Amino acid sequence: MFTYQIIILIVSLVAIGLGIKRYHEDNMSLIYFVAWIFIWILIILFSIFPGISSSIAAIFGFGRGLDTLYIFSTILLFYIVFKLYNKIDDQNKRINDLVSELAIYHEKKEEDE
Amino acid sequence: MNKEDIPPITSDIYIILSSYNEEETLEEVTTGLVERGFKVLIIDDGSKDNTPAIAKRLVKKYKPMIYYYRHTINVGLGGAIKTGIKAALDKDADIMITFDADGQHNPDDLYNMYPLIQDDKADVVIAARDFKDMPTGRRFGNTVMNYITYIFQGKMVTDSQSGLRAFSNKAARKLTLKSSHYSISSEIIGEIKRKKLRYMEVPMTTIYDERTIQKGTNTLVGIKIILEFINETLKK
Repeated sequence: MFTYQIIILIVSLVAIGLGIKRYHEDNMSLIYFVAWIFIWILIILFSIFPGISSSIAAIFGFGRGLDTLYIFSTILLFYIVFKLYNKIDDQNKRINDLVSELAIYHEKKEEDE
Repeated sequence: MNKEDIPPITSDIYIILSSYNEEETLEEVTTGLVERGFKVLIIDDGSKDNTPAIAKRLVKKYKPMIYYYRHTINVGLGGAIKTGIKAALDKDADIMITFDADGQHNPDDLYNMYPLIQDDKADVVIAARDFKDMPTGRRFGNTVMNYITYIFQGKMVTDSQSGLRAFSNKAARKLTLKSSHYSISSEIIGEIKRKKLRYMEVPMTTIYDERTIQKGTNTLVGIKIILEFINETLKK
């Protein structure tokens, strides 16, 4: 086993551990938890058996196995960032609406008193 | 303006005074409005200075002419305007006028605005600044914003970023505003077109000093507005 494989293995196990902890603390939905575990198991498999990526590269017609990993990780990262951005944006709007409602509610309450 | 020239207020008019850290000017601006017979809704957008204390004192002093609404966190200009419109509709206002608390607007300009709605000549009236009075950088920025508003919202106006806008109750109810930030100004222009509201422009006196220049739409804000538009367009 090469050093990089050991490092990736440790990082992946820590990431899986963190995922389990967050899921148990109710900070992560089931779907995200499953996706998270799945991705890290894939990373472990790719690092321990680099041959897999070459086989996938051959299927998709990419030059090298590593290129396949880069391309798929970039697409995945973009997708995650996009999802996160939209989520944050939606949450922001909801918080703003709440702040507005609260302001009106408190004014009414004070006026009644 | 002579007293006899002042158009009579025959409707329920509320001024939406959006303020964020305006302890220096809030009292003067609010007093100026109340003394002219307007009811004021102070929308404090999460100020961290002495604005809340000043506003509460003013509410007590001029009861029932002033109402105070506080956002617990800073939301942005758009958020403050939306809260103001909701609050004014809640109070069954006939006319609501957005006004800046930083002292940039002259309350006398309101005399050109509300009569047009009172007489049912318009649904929305915006007071446009004379770009010739602006510092060069500002003039350029505001001209660019007019074109950007035209591209994204489909309507060309003299001053798309003006903060002095009057709405009839009917018009305010029709508005669908999404932006919480500075792009609210352009969004309002778009809504006038989309909801087919009768729109009129009147001239505005521009007061520029160091403070108002610092607080208004600068290049960074302009860029943010463009990004917000692109984001909204992509989401449609």
